[in-house]
Amino acid sequence: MKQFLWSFFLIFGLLSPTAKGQYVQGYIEDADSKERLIGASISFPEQKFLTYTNQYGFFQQKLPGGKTRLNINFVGYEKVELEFFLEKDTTLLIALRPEVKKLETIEIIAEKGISGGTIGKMSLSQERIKEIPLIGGEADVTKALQLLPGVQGGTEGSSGLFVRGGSPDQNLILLDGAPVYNTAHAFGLFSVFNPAAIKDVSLYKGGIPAQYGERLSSVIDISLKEGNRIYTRGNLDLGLLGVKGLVEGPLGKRKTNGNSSTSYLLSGRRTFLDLFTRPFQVFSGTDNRTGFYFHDLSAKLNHQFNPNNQIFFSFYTSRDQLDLGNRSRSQTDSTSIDSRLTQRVNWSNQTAVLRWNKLISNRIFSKLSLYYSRYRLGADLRNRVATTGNGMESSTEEGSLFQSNLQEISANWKSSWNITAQHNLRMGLGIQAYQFNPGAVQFKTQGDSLARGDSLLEAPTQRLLVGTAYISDIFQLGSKIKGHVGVRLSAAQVSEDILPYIQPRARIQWQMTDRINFQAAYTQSVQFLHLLANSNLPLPVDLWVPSTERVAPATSRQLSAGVAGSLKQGVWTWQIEGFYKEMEDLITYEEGANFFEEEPTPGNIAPSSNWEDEVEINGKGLAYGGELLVQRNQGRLKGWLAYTLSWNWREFEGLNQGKRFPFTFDRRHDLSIVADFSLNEKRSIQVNWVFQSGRATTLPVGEFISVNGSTVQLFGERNSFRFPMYHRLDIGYSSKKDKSYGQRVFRVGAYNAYSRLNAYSVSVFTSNGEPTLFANSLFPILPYISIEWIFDKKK
Amino acid sequence: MTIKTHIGGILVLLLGLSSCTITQELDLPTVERKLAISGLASFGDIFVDTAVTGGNDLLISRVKSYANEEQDTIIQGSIVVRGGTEDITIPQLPFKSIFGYNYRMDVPWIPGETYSLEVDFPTYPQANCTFNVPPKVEILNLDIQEAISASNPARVAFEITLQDPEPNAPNFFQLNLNALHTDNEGNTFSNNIGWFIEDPLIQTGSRYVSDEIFVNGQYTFRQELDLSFLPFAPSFWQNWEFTVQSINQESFNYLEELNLHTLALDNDLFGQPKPLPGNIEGAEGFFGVVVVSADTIPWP
Repeated sequence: MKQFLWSFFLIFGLLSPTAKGQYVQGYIEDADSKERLIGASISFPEQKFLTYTNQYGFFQQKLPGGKTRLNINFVGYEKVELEFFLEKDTTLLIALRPEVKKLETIEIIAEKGISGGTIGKMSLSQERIKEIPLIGGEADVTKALQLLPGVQGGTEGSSGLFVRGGSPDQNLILLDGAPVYNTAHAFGLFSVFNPAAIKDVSLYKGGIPAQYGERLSSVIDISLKEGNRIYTRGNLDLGLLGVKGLVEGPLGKRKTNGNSSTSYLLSGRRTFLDLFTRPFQVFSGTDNRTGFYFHDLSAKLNHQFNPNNQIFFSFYTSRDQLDLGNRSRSQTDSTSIDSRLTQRVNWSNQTAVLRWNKLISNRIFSKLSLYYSRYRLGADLRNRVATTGNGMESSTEEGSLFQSNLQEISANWKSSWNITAQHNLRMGLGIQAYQFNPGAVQFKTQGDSLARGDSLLEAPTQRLLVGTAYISDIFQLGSKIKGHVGVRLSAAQVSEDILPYIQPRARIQWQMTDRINFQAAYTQSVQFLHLLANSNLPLPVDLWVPSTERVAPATSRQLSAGVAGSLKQGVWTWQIEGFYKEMEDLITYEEGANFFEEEPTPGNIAPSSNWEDEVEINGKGLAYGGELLVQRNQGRLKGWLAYTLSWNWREFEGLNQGKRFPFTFDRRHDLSIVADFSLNEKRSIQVNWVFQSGRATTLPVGEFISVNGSTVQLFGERNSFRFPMYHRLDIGYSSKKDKSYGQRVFRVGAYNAYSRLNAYSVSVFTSNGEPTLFANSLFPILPYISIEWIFDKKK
Repeated sequence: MTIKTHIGGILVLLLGLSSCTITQELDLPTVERKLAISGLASFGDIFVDTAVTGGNDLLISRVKSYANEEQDTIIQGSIVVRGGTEDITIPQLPFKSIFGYNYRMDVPWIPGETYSLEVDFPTYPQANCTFNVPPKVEILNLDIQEAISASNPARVAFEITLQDPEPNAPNFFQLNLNALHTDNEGNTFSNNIGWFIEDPLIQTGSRYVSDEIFVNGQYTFRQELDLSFLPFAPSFWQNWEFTVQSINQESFNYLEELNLHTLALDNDLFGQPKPLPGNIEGAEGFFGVVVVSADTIPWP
């Protein structure tokens, strides 16, 4: 296969036409805010060429010259048609005006060409995300993605993404180019991305371009808004769970055209459940303390030196914290005992990105970026007992700490070079340095001070260095065939060894008719990081760990193919796609893995002191299935139907007696229906309905008495038990009203509207000798109401 | 339409849909109908209670299914031990408890020999297993030393030297120390001290130690003890008894897996379920033999 791809690539390079011509290139931006627009389509009807703006709103196309016509389309904006005589390389700056009548806008969720779009890649705009009713009325990026074909959530309410049989760690989630390692707020109920600050979300689940790598299953590329360069605007959103706000605007002197060279954006949110409950706890006199909150903050600074040079700095931070406390006092005649139990679980993300975009020449666009990303998790349990009396004072303290820290720093250079009208060469280099601190520590009593005692798992700091390079040709052969072919080289230093991996990537699209196209793609990937997640709990007790001498990097190969088309001039679009994905060298916890209990091992050697001793390695994964997406893009009723039929297997030598077993989130059927019905220009009703086959789990099915008198539970085959099927209806209503300051948006609705008791977990309890299987549900119907004030003088 | 009209419609819709709520009744899959056989037979210098109840050595029960189904009781069948000098049929005189049938395994095991156990109960699949009896460890020396601390004269130290009978095969030992008192009527009172291994070569956490640490087939274990922890005055006690229980690699592995299985049931944040395979074909459970060596020395 590798040889074939290389030959294919070389042949394309040698035989490609080198027709002379001129370049049309430029930026497309919002006329009001001067924000650059990502994914706007630029079509050249005479030449039958189609291109899109990149992440920075830039496009470039080589044309034969002469009379030239181009059409520019972008969701929510008025179409623009230009006609001019092309006799030399031309740079354009095109400003699109937002459409006034929303009813006539075209909602695009799949990147569409002239007949249905590119399968394997999907995009969601901020507008679309905000209109999907979800828990608490909180618009949510990852939950919106879960409604797309081939993408599943984990447990009820979880923000985890399982793409085409992969696990959450196999998704490269980029925020302005920097990876984010934990996307969950509130134990997974919300994602960490504040939709108010998001400009665009793109999901690649197949045919992943060579510029992305080091994850097996998908890429989710999230771009923050750049900030309005003309005037200051903002919004404030007050809901049942919290408050969020955004402010953006120009900085510094305005230029003659009224724009500023510099713009900023600042957005944040915080839940206030803890602020409400704290006074009640104080006034009720209880000694139990419970508190939970999360917050996040996004900031971005954007400066344009000249049309060819632009620099961005973006910063993001988020934190979740759960506090549980209990204090009890007892008093006798001579002594008093004061006992305090505190538990704190917190996790946080930080990213910082500095990027320089430069248009080097009419043919070459490049960007240079530096980023830093950090994820920290801490679960701390302390129990302190103070005893006073008989003239003496003493205190003891014990506890345990689980922590998982991961830091990454990286430098990347990427470039796009238009060689000919038919060939756009993309290439890049990058280096990433990782530092891991996974650890679980038990503390012991030591007089009045707390000191580290038995450290059952206190792995030393581990480091990983990864270098990457890629080259890719985006080609067009005539008017019927286009695609990309490329290769990515990733190499990691593991101990003393350098492990190189060559990953071919290819996609080809054949325009069968005006309305139907066929596409096929091949993606090979490697992943040097692993996530160890507990198979039973959805809590963020996850350990990020590197590849080591024992734990090899994971690899995957995916082949996908499908057809896409449109009906009624693009009012309806549809896609059918099949995929087959193999994964190797996966890891998972071994059976009985346990960090905090004393764990003897054969030979009575010291208890396990390293995560590597607790994992099964060299696991295999296999996922295959088919996906269907039907969208209605225009009219009063818009939305989509997404259906996935898939199978998902895992195989480890040390698990399930070496036999393959269903993955935990192997769901045979997954159906989502998303509809947005406009009552008029200002009011609309939104409905989601989700249906999924039950996920798999391992349960005890019987018991007997063992040699030492304890009860031994018999388990069925691994993941042989299925949860009941999952289904849920969410409905929402939104109403907008223009105000002197801008606009007010009122939203009301309900998550799980018919209060289906979906099983969140299942467990067996024995009462009076009779075992019973219980299904625990998390959310009944959850109504919500929120008001958003948009401070925007243009509204 | 006004906002009030919209909201009213939504509320009516919600109330109507809420009436569709159903509660799932979940059924577990049934378990294959089979026996559970559990036993660690004791053999050697003295009998030690290694089994589940009352010193019996083999428990035969049925696997209890969690599924909501009628489950029958078991009817006694035949139990045969093959190997050694002759085949032995276990007498049909079990003690019946809430767990099942307990059979005394009075078999003259020959250390180092391989045996098979065959269990055939009506209406249940026939079950059998093959196992070997571990060699008996030899106690080369047993010693108790004088008080070693001037500030605590009640503190004594014990040393026991063992000879590994199979230096080339992995074997495992459990050490026990008992304080004994025999009254005038011949009744013996025992107080189990256990064995708190303090050897730096050996980590705590297991009930058994491996012969990996033996040098030239021998090893001396040492334990210090504060006699003030014993019930009654030291003068009450007359003898110290040491026992060494030997098990083979297979039994050791099963006991350790059983320990992990039990820990996993507690299911802390990181605990993973732990299936426990046994050594019996056609049934669940495990059977093995513990060979006991014992020695006593008088109170100093």
